[in-house]
Amino acid sequence: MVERRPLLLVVQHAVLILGAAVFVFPIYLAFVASTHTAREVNSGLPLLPGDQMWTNYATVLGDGLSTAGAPPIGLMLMNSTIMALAITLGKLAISLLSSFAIVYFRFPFRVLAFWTIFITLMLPVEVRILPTYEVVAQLGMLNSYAGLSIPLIASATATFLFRQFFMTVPDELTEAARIDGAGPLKFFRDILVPLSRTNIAALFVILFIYGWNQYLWPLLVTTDESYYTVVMGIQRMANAGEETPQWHLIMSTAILALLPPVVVILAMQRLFVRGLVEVEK
Amino acid sequence: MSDIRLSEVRKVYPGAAEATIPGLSLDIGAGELCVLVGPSGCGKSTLLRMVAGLEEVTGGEITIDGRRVNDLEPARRDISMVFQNYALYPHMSVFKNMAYGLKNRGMPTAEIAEKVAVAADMLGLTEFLDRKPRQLSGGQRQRVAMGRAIVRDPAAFLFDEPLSNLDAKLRVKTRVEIRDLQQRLGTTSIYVTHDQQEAMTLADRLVVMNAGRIEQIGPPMEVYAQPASLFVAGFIGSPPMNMLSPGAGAALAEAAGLHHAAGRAIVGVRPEALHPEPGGPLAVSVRVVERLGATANVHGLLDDGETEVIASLAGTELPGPGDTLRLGVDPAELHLFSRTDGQRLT
Amino acid sequence: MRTKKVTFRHRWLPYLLVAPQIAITLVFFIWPASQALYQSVLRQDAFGLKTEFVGLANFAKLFNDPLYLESFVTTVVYSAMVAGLSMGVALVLAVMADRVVRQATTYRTLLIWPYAVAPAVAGVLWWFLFNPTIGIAAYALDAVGYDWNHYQDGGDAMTLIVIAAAWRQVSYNFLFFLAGLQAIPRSLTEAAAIDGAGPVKRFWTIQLPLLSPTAFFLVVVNVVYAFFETFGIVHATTSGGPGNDTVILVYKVWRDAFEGLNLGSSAAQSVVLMVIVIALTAIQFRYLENRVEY
Repeated sequence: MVERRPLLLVVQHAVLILGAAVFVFPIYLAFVASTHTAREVNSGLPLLPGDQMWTNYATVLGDGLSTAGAPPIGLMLMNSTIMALAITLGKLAISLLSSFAIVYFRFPFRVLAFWTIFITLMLPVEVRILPTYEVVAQLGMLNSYAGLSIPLIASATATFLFRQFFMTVPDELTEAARIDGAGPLKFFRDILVPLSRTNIAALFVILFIYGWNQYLWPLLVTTDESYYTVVMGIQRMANAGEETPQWHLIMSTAILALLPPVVVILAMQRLFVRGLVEVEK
Repeated sequence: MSDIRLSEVRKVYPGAAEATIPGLSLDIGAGELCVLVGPSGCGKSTLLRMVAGLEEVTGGEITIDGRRVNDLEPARRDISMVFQNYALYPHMSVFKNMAYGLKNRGMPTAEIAEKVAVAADMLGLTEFLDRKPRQLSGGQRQRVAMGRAIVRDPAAFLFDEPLSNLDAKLRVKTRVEIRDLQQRLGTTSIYVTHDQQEAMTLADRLVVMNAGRIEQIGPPMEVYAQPASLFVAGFIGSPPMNMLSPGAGAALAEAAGLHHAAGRAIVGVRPEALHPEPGGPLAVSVRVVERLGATANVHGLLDDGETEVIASLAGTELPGPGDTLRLGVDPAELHLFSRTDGQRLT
Repeated sequence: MRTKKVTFRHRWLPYLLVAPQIAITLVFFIWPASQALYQSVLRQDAFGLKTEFVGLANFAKLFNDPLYLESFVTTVVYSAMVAGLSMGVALVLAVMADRVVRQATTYRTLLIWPYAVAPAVAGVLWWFLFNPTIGIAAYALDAVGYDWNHYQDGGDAMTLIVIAAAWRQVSYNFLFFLAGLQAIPRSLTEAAAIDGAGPVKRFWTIQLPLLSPTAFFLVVVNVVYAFFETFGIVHATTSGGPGNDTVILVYKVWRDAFEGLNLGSSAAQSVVLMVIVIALTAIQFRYLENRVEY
């Protein structure tokens, strides 16, 4: 900054540290709760981690909360992973292909195709809950990985991002490739996709988080517990009817549910920030 | 070695009112380096891109080595092209950039490696084969683009302003390298540039283009010495030829004994043809003197007060601003052009 | 709409390339949406045996339903609070982080990751924190004389979901405010400093006006977020309670469809939501066209 004011600097750091603390606190507390016994959590408020960590995590991963009728968290984590990866890779693949078609070909109905894709922006699951459910039910896709992922893999955002990026790829590269004997698919595979890898990685982070954090959709299309995802499954534990919630186990589950996307976002922070700001342009 | 023939080639862009190239014929001999030169928008790049197959041919015929190529994909025309911005694949190493076209043609790996090695050696790129384009300097990138072109051993090289992204010094150096390489390989080449100096130094034959038409074709020195039109005279040569209106040039024409032309034709005289001559026919009041080292460009006005004249003078005894300079010229150095259509008068 | 100047030519390849995206869009987006439109003008009897065309009757009924109107108000209040709280906190943090250039990345790392936490999980975390019997926040409030109970008190329940929703969204807003601040050329701030403006004055006269497009954009994004993406928070924590105090529109449309089985009404609600998203998206795109240039 332009001038040096020690006092101002102290205030700034104080505000930031306080802010960061408020952000971390709920998670820290969840972690603390996940390392104690039920009795310890329910009686006092321990502020430091206890020694029950392995027991609790082993319990939820292996057995789940039998009283709440939920399957082991291990299975839910696997379901979440499958769903998140299927959504992410599916979105990336079909968006790359469709933006390639829209940018690199002139064909009848091109503009119609673009607007059809664009419209999905205006139709989130939340505004067409029941009829979408009915379509999936009619197709026999309830309680399946296909039902969990395929209806969500249309992506206007990813298509726009790739379209925007493709527009910046110099025309001469395409011409050079043509002279080098590369047809459209070879050009796509050998040149366009490798050139897009930063964008692909950035979108991967955003889409993985989007996929992992789906809640309403799995709630709609899964009734079979073996297809529950962890983010929606946690609610089953928390709302376990009359009994006192088993907070130490719920918090272990919460930590497990938030860990994968948090790890992804922190590991790929730079790409994520760039991608996020790009997507909204 | 292959020749390239263009006969009555036309280009009209869809929706455009006028043809970019209204119909142009040109024969380029085998092994020749033919330079298309002209101001931007004159159609030279369009013409080159039609030969390459990157632009559709509206009418006429293009043949390479006797084979009609109008409807062939670029890759099947047996040509290679060097782009202005090089168009190197940024994610591929130098080796892969050069090998890509060979790979797409299904050449065996061992043969590819050998061809690339030979080309890299010829261009001094051997130690850079594993680098990515962004790790190279501008001049090195240019050489990779050249390498990608020669590795395929094509029937023709097409150059689209390949030097304009280099700084002035490197441009001169690379120009020589390109000429040397082309002569050694003996590959028929079409070279597009807007830089008349580049055109002069490189060309076996110069094609001066203007508004989609050919103004003049010929060896560079011939075009320089006998410009066919006012346009060519003004475009080739630096500083440009002095153009004197029939009135202003009358004295000069009279002094040269060209009485029939005096007062009727436009008189052109190259700055380097003017020399100081006491009592010479041109009286120039000097405004600015640009010293270039061996020579100096003297800018001034004729006594009509409006015709600007540049004289390129050698020597150290130069006039200063405000001086009046008398200049003369060898009659053989005068160029006469028609006042009506700008064509050269003999 | 633009394509490249240089394109490929192929008779059927482009259709094949867009086919997967278009197929999924048609089957899972366009078709259901048109179904919602269609059903919104029909009424079905209790046994699902007979349907009849009722025009806009479902909509008329909806807007005469006090519960629906109440839910509308709840959603608007809730969204305004989420947007206001998360943007306010994010702006303060971003301004501070922008000023400590060297450590900005460190703070960004600390502030960024709640974005990765699912809304439902965020809800559960805060729910635990505010649990009236064992939650540490409820305990602290009790210590200052406030009897927190979001099971009983609608205001408390609303506060809870607002905090949970805003907590997660601060990260997002922070990133955009920080990017916006960092895009303001250094020379502008320096010029203002030379003109004698102190840090506070510079914030009000230079940074804030230049941030206003970002802020406007974020308002739209945050409202969309609060309207449509926080279903999980409500569903996993308050379940709309106590009473109907935290029934936001998306929660209501889900409940009416899957628990109330009221097809016509649910479809009409879907259509209303659609109109809202379309309006918000349109505003957002208007903004994108009018992006300021520094």
